[in-house]
Amino acid sequence: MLNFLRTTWLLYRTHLVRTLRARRMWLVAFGVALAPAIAWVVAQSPRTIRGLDVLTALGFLLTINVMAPLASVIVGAAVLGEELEDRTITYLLTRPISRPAILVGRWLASATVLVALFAASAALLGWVAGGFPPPSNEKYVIPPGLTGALVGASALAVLTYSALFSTLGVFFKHPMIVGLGYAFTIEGFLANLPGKNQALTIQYYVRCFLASQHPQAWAGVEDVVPREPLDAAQAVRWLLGIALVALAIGAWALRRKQYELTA
Amino acid sequence: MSGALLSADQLGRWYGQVVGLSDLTLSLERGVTGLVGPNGAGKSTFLKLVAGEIRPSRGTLEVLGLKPFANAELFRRAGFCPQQEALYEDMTGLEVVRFLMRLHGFSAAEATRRANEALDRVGLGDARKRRVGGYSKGMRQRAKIAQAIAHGPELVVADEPFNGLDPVGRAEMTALFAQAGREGMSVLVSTHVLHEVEALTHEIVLFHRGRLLAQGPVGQVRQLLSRHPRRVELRAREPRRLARALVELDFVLSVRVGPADGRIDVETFELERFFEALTRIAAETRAGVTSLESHDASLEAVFDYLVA
Repeated sequence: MLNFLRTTWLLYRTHLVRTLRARRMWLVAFGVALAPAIAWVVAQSPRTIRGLDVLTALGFLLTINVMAPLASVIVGAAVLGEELEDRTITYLLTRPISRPAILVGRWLASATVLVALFAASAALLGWVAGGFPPPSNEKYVIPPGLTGALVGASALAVLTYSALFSTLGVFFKHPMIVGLGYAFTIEGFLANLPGKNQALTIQYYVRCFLASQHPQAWAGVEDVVPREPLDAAQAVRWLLGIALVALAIGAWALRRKQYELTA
Repeated sequence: MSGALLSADQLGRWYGQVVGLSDLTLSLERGVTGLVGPNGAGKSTFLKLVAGEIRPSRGTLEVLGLKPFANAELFRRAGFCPQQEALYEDMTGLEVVRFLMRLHGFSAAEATRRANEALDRVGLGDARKRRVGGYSKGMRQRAKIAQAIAHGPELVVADEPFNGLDPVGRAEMTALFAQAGREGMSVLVSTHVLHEVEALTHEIVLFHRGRLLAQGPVGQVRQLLSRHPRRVELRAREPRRLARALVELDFVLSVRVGPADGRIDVETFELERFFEALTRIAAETRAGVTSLESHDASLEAVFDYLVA
C-alpha cells in the first residue's frame, strides 16, 4: 500500500508537469475557453439577451454536453496511451512499483488539470453571464448557487469521463478512437433519447446533479432535465462510483497486462 | 557472486501466428554474456522475457531465481535497456534518470546523486540538463544505459545498446559493460554484430529464427563456423580471366562463372586471405572487377551455414 501511495504521488507530480507542457492541453484549453468567450461576445450585442439563458445554454450545450467528454477523451486517452505510443511504458513496467499506481497517478494528474480548467471556465462563464443587464422578470434572474452547481457539474463530468477514458487505455491500442466512438454514440445519442436508457450514460447523472438543484433555471434548455431526476447527492455518488469502478477495473487489468512494443 | 544467472526450459513465445522464440532451453552463469543473431533471430524477445516485460507463451524462465514477469523483486535487482529509442522527450537526461531512480524508492537527493553518477559514467555529464528531444541517437543510447545501471543492479539486460553509437561511443560503452562485469555485475547484451560482442566477452549465445543455435566461448563457436566455406559474389568485365586466376589459390574451394553479367561465385575457407589476394589478382589480370559482395558480411549467412 505504501508503495502504491508513494508511486502514485511520484507519477502524479511528474505527469502533472508533463501534462501542462503537452500540446494537447492548448487544444483543450482553447475548447474550454470557448463558453466564456462566446458569452462575452454575446454580452457585447446591443440586443437584450438574458444572462440566465446564456449561462444555461452555453454551460450545458457546450461545456457539459460537448467539451467535457471531448476534452476528457483527449486527455484521458493519453494517460496510458501516451506511454504506449511513445513506447516509454517499458521504463515504468520494469520498475519495482505498484502497477495500478501508473494508471491512478497519471489519471489523477490529468483529472487535476481538467477539473481546474473546467471549474475555471464555468466560474468565468457565470461571472460573464452575471454581468448581463438584469431581467425585468424575476423568474429569469440567475439564482444564487447556479454557477457553483455548474462548476461542480463540470468538475464531476470531467472527473468521471477521464477515469473512463483512462481505463480504455489499458485495454485498447487506440483509446482515443474508442473513446470518441463512445462519446458520440453513447453519450451523444443515448443520453438524448427519451426513456430510461439515459441512465446508462454519464450525462444523465450530470444532468440530474444540475437539474435537481435548480430545475427552473434549466427549463429553458431542451432535454437537460430528466423526467425523474435523482437528487444531487445520489448523482454525485453515481458519478464517483462510475469513476472508481472504471479505475479499479483498469488498475486490476494493468497488474497483469503485457504490452508488446516494437523497436 | 556465483550460481546460475538464468535458466530457461522449453521457453517459447509467440506473437499471434509469429514465432518469436521457440523451445529454448539454456542456462547462463553470472558474468558478461553476448546474445548474437541477425535481425528477427529472437534476441529481443528473449531479453524482453528476461527483463519481465512480457510473459512466455510456454515453458519456464527463471532469472536470478525469480520468475521475471511483473516481478518487483527482480526489477530491484536488474536494469533493462530496451531496444526502442524512446525516452521522455520533454524531460532532460537528468530528469529522466532521476525520475526512474525515484521509482526505485531512492530519496530525491540519492536519486539525483545516482542519476548524475550514471550520466557521468556513460559520458552524458555535459548534456544532462538538455532535453532528451534534442539528443542524438547515440546520446539516447547512453541515456538508456544510464537509467539501466544507475540503481546498481546485479544484472543489466541491454538490447542492441550499440545501435546508433559512433565507433568511439561503441568502444566507450563496450568498456563500460566490461568494467561493470569486472565489478561483479552480470551483463546480458544483444547485438547482430559479432565483433562487438567479442570485444566484450567470450561467452556468446547464438540465436537464429527464434531458436538457440550455439552457446559457449566465441572461439568454439568460431571454430564451428570455420568448417563452413564462405561465399563471395564478384562481378567483372573479364570474369573468365579472373576465375582462372582465382581457382589457382589453395584456399579457394570453388569458382563458378555465371551465365551472364560477368558474375563469379567463389567459395573459400579463408575470407581475409582471399580478399588480400583478390586485390593483387584483380590488378594483375586487369579483369575489371565492378562489384564485390560477401554473403558473410552479415551474420545471416553465418547462421544459414549453421542451420544448413
